[in-house]
Amino acid sequence: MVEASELRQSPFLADVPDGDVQRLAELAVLVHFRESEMIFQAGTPAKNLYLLKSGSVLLSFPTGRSLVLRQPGQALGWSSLVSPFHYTATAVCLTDSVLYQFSNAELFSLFRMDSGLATRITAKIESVIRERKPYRMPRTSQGGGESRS
Amino acid sequence: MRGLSAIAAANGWFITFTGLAIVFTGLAVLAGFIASLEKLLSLWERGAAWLKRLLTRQPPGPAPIPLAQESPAPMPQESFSPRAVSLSGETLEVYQYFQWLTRRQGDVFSLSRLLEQAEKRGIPRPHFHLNELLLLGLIEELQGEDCGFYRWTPGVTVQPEE
Repeated sequence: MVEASELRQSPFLADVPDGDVQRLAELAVLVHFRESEMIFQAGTPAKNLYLLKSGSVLLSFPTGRSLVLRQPGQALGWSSLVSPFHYTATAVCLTDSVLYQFSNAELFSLFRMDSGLATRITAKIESVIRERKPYRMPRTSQGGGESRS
Repeated sequence: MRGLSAIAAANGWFITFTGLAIVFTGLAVLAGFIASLEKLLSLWERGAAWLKRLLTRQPPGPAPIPLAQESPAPMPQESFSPRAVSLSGETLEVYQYFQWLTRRQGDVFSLSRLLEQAEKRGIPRPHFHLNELLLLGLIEELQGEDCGFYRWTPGVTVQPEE
């Protein structure tokens, strides 16, 4: 469990009511990863959702695309809340990083009891999925040429 | 005459040990060469880069203009203006390694593949240095359909930190 006030500072939960943040804080676990350590691997069962607290994480997709996360509050591991519950990317720390970890089983239990919270979190996850959709698309212009846009 | 005495009489022992020595010396030299191949190649790369830099500096610039006559410098354009970045010893070395590794992928490269190759070659702290190069703006992400792929930022030159 982490302090609700600490979790409150995460931009991901900026517009979430205090009560919901309190309930999420009760589930959150602060996890530390070292530079070059893998948080999760693409294709493996997704059991945790993470919110970045500090550090830099590289999300690498099987398409060869990558995304660097370094803004506090950025979410990773949304696959833990969406069927078929397999991570779609590999997350590796570029620097020592600290994240809030939420078990999907505990989140689902919480969502069953609080549909309002479930709706709010699902909407946020949807926007993350939408943002990262281009990264999951295979590259059309192969060959490493001068394909720029 | 037969057996060991025949070998000894025909200088067989000397020939055997000379042969062994030649073969093992050859193998040792070959092993040494292969072990230092990576260093030799990086030296070669650095030498070529140094020569290129030297050649580009060769043409003499225009005659100096007195300050009073000098026209005002145009406003720098953030995205395209040439920029120099100073790198310290290890980061500079890793930068050169990364340049060499990405050359194999082409102008556009994948960060995950770059890291994979860097780890395979035992480059020190590739994750940390990649983050540094991204933060310094030496590597930039492409936009549009190529989002998630990266390139060396055009117009940025690297110089060793003094």
